[in-house]
Amino acid sequence: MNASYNIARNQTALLDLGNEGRVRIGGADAEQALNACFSMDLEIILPWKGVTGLFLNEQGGILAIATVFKGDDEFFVFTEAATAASLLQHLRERLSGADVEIEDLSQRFGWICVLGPRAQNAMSQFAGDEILGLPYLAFEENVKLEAKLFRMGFCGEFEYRMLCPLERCQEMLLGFLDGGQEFGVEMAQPEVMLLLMLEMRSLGIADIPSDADPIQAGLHWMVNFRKEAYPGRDAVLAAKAEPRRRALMLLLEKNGAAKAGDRIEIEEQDFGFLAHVDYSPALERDIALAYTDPELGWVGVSFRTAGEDGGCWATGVSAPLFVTKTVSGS
Amino acid sequence: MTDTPTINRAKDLARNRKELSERLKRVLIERLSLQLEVDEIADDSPLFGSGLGLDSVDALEIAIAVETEFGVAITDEDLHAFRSVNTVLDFIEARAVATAASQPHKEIA
Repeated sequence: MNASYNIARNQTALLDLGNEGRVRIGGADAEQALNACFSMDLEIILPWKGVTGLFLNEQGGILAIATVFKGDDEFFVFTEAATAASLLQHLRERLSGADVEIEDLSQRFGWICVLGPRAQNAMSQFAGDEILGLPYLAFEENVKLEAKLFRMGFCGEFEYRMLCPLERCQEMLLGFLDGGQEFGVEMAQPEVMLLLMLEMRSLGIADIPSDADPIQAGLHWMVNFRKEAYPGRDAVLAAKAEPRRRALMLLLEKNGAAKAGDRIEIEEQDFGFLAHVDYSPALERDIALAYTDPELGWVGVSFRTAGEDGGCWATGVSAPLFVTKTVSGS
Repeated sequence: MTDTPTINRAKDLARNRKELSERLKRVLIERLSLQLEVDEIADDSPLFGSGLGLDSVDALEIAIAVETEFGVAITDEDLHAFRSVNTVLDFIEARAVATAASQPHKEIA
């Protein structure tokens, strides 16, 4: 995993994200039906642009985090591997009865990702210099690649993803590896994404307790608070008025002393729990995402972790946890 | 960890940070004409791109607003640290501490 991490943070990582969810929604009712069950407003998204939002249940619980791109007369819905099957099922149930076509693109297309501080330069070689002007959360039909090319990113790095016909995926991966040596292109394990995301405080569904709402998880930016109707809206607004918990990034004083599920305390009083603990190679420290008492879940506050591994002090810190080379340009 | 944290100390830290956070959010909402309320911005939300959707022009406005409202000087290099409300707050707090240390008799803005 360390090798994958170093490639992604310092070079150009090539990832086969074939396990992630990808769905095309077409048909006359596509926009109206999809918009009715999504936390962001798809009606105000321009064609060939995208937005990240949530599929919620009526209680405000998060079913899936998804990025939705709008084509001329179709939508593309992408979600992580953990929610690929459940989101597809959810869409089939929610959109049944509407004039829509739901296609599981994983049956026909692979999902390849090029990510890292040198990914933009690498992709300009593979896909043409015009991709330098492709905005974040936009996509295009790339002639050179003969694939739809999406610009995304939750890891603080340049990130491009391609929908490539399954029969051409292997050829495309080998082509990137052969042609991308100048940019340090190497294969990386898809599992590294969760760590890269955690360092930037981008959450996966595994980071979110089943009873947590978007406000607890700090995913306010994935909700359009002006949108009048979507599942879970009332619960989200109630949670906004009176949050029950606050997600907080923690920097742990000692490595290997805490794990997900451990409680966090001050003066032996319980104030929450750790949802995700991982080692950050960039910081050379264990980091964690915690859900805390809303009064105390703020940067600068220190908690004692209370688990079987001995526990340690953990202090609330700001996210993203550091400035990546992509952002600093160094 | 030199001092053992207490609940009262934690509450003080949290209260101060919350007040500063709400103050910064109000400044951002006003200066950038954001159609949001203070409690609709999470402290770790990305300011740019997918988060609040701000751009490089907004980044300059944030810098001016922070300089004006919080009395700290900002260079172009500092803007890399402006990734979320929390990272901007860290910057303001660090600068305020440095200023206070160099000018012990001056009040922090």
